[in-house]
Amino acid sequence: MPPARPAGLRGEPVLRFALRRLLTAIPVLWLVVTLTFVVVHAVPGSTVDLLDNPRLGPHEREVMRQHFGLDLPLHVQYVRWLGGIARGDLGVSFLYRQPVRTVVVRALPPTLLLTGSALLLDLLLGIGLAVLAVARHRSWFDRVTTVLSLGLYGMPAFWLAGLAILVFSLKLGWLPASHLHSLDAASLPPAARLADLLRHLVLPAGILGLAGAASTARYLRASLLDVRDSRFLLAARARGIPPWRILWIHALRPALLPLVTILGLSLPFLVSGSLVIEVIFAWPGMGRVMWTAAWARDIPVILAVTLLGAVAVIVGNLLADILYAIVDPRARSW
Amino acid sequence: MGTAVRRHLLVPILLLLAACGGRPAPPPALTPVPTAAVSGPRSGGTVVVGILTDVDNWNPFLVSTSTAEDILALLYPTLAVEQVDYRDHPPSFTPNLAESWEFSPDRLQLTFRLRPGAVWSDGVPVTARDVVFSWKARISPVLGWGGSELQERIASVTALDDRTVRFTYHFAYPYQLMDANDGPIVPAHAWEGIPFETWERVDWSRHILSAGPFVHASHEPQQQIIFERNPRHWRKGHPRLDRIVWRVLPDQSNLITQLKTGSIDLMEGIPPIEAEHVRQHPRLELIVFSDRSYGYVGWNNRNPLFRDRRVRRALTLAIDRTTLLDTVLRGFGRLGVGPVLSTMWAFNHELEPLPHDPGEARRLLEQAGWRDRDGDGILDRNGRPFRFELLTNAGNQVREDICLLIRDQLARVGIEARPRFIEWGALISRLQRGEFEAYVSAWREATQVDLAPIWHSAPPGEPTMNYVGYSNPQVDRLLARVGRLSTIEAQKPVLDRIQALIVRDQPYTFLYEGERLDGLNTRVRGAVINDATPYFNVDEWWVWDDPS
Amino acid sequence: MDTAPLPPRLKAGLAGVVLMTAACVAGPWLLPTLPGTDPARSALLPPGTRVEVAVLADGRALVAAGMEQRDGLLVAGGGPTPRVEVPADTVVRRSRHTFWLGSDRYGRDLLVELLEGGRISLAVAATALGLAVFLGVGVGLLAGSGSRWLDAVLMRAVDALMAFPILFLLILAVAVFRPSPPLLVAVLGATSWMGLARLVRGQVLSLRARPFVVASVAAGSPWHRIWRLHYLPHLTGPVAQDAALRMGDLVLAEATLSYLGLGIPPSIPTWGSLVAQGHKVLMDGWWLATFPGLAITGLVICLALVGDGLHQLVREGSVNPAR
Repeated sequence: MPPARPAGLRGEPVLRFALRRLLTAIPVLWLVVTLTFVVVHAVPGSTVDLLDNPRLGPHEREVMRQHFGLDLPLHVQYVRWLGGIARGDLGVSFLYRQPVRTVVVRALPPTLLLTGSALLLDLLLGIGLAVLAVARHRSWFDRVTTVLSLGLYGMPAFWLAGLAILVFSLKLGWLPASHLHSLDAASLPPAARLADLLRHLVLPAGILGLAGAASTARYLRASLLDVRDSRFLLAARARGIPPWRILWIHALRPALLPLVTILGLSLPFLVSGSLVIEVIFAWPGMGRVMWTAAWARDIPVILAVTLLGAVAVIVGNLLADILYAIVDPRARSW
Repeated sequence: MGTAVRRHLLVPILLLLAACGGRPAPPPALTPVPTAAVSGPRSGGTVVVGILTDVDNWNPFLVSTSTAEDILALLYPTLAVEQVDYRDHPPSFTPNLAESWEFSPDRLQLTFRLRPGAVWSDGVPVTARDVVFSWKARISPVLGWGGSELQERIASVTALDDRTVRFTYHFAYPYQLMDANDGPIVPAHAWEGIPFETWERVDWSRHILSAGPFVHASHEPQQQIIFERNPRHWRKGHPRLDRIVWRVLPDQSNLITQLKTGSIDLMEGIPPIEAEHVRQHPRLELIVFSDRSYGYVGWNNRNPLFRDRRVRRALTLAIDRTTLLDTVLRGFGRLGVGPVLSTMWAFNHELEPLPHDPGEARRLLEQAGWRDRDGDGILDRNGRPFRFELLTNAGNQVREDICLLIRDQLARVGIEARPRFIEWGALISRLQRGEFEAYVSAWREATQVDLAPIWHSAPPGEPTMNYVGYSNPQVDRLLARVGRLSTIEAQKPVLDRIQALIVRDQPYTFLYEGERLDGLNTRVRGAVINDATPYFNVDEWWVWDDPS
Repeated sequence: MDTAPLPPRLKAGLAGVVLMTAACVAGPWLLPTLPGTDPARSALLPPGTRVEVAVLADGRALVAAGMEQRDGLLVAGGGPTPRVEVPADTVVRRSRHTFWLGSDRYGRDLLVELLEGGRISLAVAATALGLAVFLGVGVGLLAGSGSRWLDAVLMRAVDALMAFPILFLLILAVAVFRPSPPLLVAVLGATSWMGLARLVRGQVLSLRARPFVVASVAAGSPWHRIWRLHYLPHLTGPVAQDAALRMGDLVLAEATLSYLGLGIPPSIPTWGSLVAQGHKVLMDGWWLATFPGLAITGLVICLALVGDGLHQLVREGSVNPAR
């Protein structure tokens, strides 16, 4: 697939370019949240009716409905909400009865920890394996890693997670199957506490990262092979540059181009997390916040998370283009 | 332990809880865990409870789930504790934050004496001021807690002195104590400075105090909650446990796995299909108790198909509810009779479950004009076949299985039910608008018997739970009358009459009375787990073989 | 087109896909069927267990690993499973059955469930892919060959759709509509065409500047002729390659959604919901989650091989190079 060329980078300072792109993104953002607002109000059921609490009779529910402003006309609710956004106020969650900001800010660090370590593993392992495989093209190492990455690529993450829990937690008892910390982590010294956290991170981040690394390695291996046979590297080889240098420096750079785009595009993944892994490993992240909010019709939280996700997609795209221009000087013009 | 009294009658039950049942008619509650140990209770140790959802807010007036309400009730207790003894009379109360109470001779004033030893965890005594402040929170419209309706019955709450507080009523009625007691007591000295309007913007985890057996030690959102023994608790030597920990596991099968591996000690709501596994597990105890719920089929009484009382009766007769109980609920439960649970004092003992009688069902349907005239195997009348959609909420295995079973059984009398499973929110919204033919659901009954929200033919626009549109002028009159009677003795005959009328009319098919199944590790001793709260006597719990 | 030999991985992948499809389509008919289930005695039997089956006069079936006849009684079960005794003369028929992949919690044969589930999984993924290819190619062609204005509008719409939370959309779709295979196909198809649209648009933009297209436009050829003669033939290679990989993604997506309970009602088995069922009894029946997961993995691998093979073909220029 030919990598998409950044369209707006010709003859423009990078800051202005970024600013212009962000400004044109505002209508897209508005479109996304307005669409979400309409959809979420069109869906039957409201938080007030869905609460499974014996204390709440029809009268109590009516009081709550008025309290949340759900009895107001839709356009009034919409203007109220947009006004809040303009002031930087995301509103109060119907479910948690706390500022939405608190709910989101609380879930972000665990998600970033999980997805960040997964991405790191993904890149390190993926690039390493691909380069080594190409360096020893058609060796047994190449064949084994190719088969392995193909296999990992095909495995559904939730299935691998269940299997890993069965083997490493339930049968062998080596690693914890859920949560961020052990029960008594708070009383441990800092070093042991960190070790405890890392032990809990191994399975979820490992599974997410391995799946990613498999894709990365597959992708990179193919593009490295493409580049390796290209003319400019044949020329480099003819000039007597050592093979390892050709591979790690001359070949890797063009092969990494599409990868850089992928890196930018993984920003949404970083902030929105992986629902399946978070549910299986009881990880308190953004995926679960969205999941709970959607089922409970917690409208302020749904809108806020949607907004955050959309911003991440747009910023990620922009970042991808800028990174691309940095790596590929032909696309640069500042 | 204090728990918020379930004031409101009946509430739709969403989770799988409405699913259980048990050996022949167990007592309504109080299922003590058999304590095999010979040695007496010991102090110390930790109990780990697995929960599906986290505490959503640390202010008891802002929580929305019952899981969270039950946990917060350990910090913010009630004046008295409602007992689970509602079989022969309305529940009695035992002293808690209040050591005693008495009514004025005209029963319009109820005066509580607070316990002298009760203090908040910061050392400040629990006073009448706290009670008055908590009352203000209950009725505040800006909190949306919904207590404003109480003002129709309770005129005022005043502190006579630090230890004496008086509730004054507009009129006398049977549930005066229950109403006064229905709400947590929160610390006025710490929270009074925060206006109610801003409560939703406050981080309440920074303002946690406790007047209960445990104090809050730590909370990692969506992970775990740790409570520790409250050294200032007024009951000396209690609680016995050092700590109680809640671990949040968002996935039910994950919870069951951790219960089996011993990572958690207690879990609520075991699905019936797993009950046998838990019962046979050497280290687990299956606790079965009535959860005050009943499952039913609601027939839309406004629909021409179900407008005729004879047809609704025929439908009940055609459904083999004993088989349903045995297969879907694995025998955990009892046959449903009417709108009041058979284990409740208000139950009309002259009523019995309708039998399974397909022959009589066919006769009644024939009487109502339903016959298979075109020979397609489905009854018809005026060219319209007896065919309808049977709704329930998707994802609830028990209810989905019930729908399929009902379809098969009704097919035998020539009625075609088409099960359809829709998402919970979508179902509720269709029920509220009356856009359905029939549905399967469950109610949980409160210990305060008030049949009006479900059975009174509500005027249009009023919020109601009478989704099926049941309307019987006689029942309406009796319901209005029962609300004006000031004693239980006067109410009971009227309640009996109402039940008889409703059972005769069969606006619902009452399927079963549910039971809940909890799993408890046998290392936890002395626990009484009942339908009031899992932590009913948590200050008595102790552990036998703490590995530490 | 010159006839270059097909790359071996393409052949292997295609063979795998065809084989798995054939097994799922024909398998359930060819396999011996269990006349009934007997959850009390035959639930959660490990792979390879041989059982005896007795069909009773009242239509019930007894399925148990051990069964013996004595004193006019048929005794089934025993050991960890509840024993049952029935008069031997009520037995209509007896047979044997082997649970090659084990049995599930309800005493059903996992192999049959797996093959039947595969039908749904494959059908959903393939139909969704068809929808995605149709939308992706259509929108890509329109954006790439139309006016700048149309291009901008379509691409902003693609941006907005890519920024829209898919999972949330699904939960809401499940709330409004009945969860069903067509709904799942619609949602999966409608949310996975954007990448393809971008790919096609890029290809068309580069083709558009090529002399033969410029000449054709200058000669006044109608748009459908240009599409048919110049764009579509050059798109088949890249689109086929992308589609093969995308189909793998769709199989995984369907499995994930069914695992979360958002896909198909649980009463219909799919590979994803079978894994979910298996995870409920992870400790007591490892095989229930393992085999459906292996099936998904196998299919995705085969599809990836097909995609790789097609990539190789495109690269070696034996299939309409677009560069």
